[in-house]
Amino acid sequence: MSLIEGTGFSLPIATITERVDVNIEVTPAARSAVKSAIGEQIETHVLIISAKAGGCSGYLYDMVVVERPEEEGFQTINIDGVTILIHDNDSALLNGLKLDFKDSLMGGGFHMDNPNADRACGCGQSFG
Amino acid sequence: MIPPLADIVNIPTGITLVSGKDARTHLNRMLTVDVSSDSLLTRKESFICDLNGRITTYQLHVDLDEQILLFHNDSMSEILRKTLTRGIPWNEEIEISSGDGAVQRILIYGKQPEKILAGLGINQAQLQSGHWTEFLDTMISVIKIEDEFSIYEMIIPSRDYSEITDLLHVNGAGIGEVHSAIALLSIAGMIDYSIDVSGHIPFNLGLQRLVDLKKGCYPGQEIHARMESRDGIKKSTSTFKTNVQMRLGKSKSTNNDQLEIISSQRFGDSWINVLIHPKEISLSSEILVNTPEGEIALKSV
Repeated sequence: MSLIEGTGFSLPIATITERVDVNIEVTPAARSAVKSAIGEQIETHVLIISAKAGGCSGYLYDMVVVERPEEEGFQTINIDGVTILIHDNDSALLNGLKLDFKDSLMGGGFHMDNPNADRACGCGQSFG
Repeated sequence: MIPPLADIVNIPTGITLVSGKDARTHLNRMLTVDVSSDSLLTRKESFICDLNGRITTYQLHVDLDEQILLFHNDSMSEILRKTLTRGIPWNEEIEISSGDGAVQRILIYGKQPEKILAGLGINQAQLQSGHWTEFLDTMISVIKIEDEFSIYEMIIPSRDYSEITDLLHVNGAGIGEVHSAIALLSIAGMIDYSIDVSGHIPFNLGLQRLVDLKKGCYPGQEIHARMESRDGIKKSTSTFKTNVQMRLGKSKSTNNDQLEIISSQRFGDSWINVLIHPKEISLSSEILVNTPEGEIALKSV
């Protein structure tokens, strides 16, 4: 787009984030649920837990099961044969996280208890 | 007061560029409006609010697909860029850059700016307020068309600024003044992005249209939803005329109503003021405000 072509824009602003060594706790119910989600792909796939901007309280949790990514910058946590990755950029936000799973029709699913969160939204997906 | 044809004025502004294939997704998680289905050349305004529902930044969008230009109060640049650079997910492509000075924003305002635009070969009837229209390397859109005046907005790369403004002057545009243009916007019930509205609740500024409670979560959404559903909107914003410039900030009326003036701009022989006031206050007559200089009469515009 010629409106912004040429000079005048800065280089992308660097994002400086604090990196800490991550420790998380995964309850037996959550381990079982993660294993079930990964299924037979447990040798090749990993669970990535991340935090992204947004939600009622400033950050949103995200959990995805994907083939082990080639990107660098992840910290690896092995729990009972399951590989969990947390990116360095999210390490300060997620260190100390307790991952639980509730098996109920209403309000069931994964639950996060995050000691870094000053507040959380009612649905439990957002923290700040 | 209102230019018979039109004047043009350059509005000082901060500019931030959000680029990358996930730029719109990233913004959508934080904004008070839904931009997920925006497309190339969408023109939109938005807020980013804090967790208490108060405005952090107020911006105008120029959607260039994988590049979204945001125009905002230049004193908000640092906090906006800081907000946008945090929480970028590992698997999304998003870059935040400063564009301060790279692009200029001008307003074309007066009784007949359409004549000037026609001289440039721009058909005013084809311009839409929610959309940018390309003209050479610039973008143009309509802000407001009233019976007595119209206001258009143009985004110009700095390298072309002299050429484009010369073209406008050749076609009859005069040289305007920032305070007159912003005052005219206020008269039209609009608050320009160059006015600092941080710390206010969007509803109190009468900008409910920039709060989409159906889009899903965003910072401040719970507060906005509660205010909206429990009739918690106790303030409103109106435009008043005075004979003197008003000090910005909080004051009280002679009836002891809490007031806050967020803009006071000279317009001809008088001043046009944007005032936040209790919703139930009577606006039919003038409001007398206590100031250190004595009582000042605010007259409804």
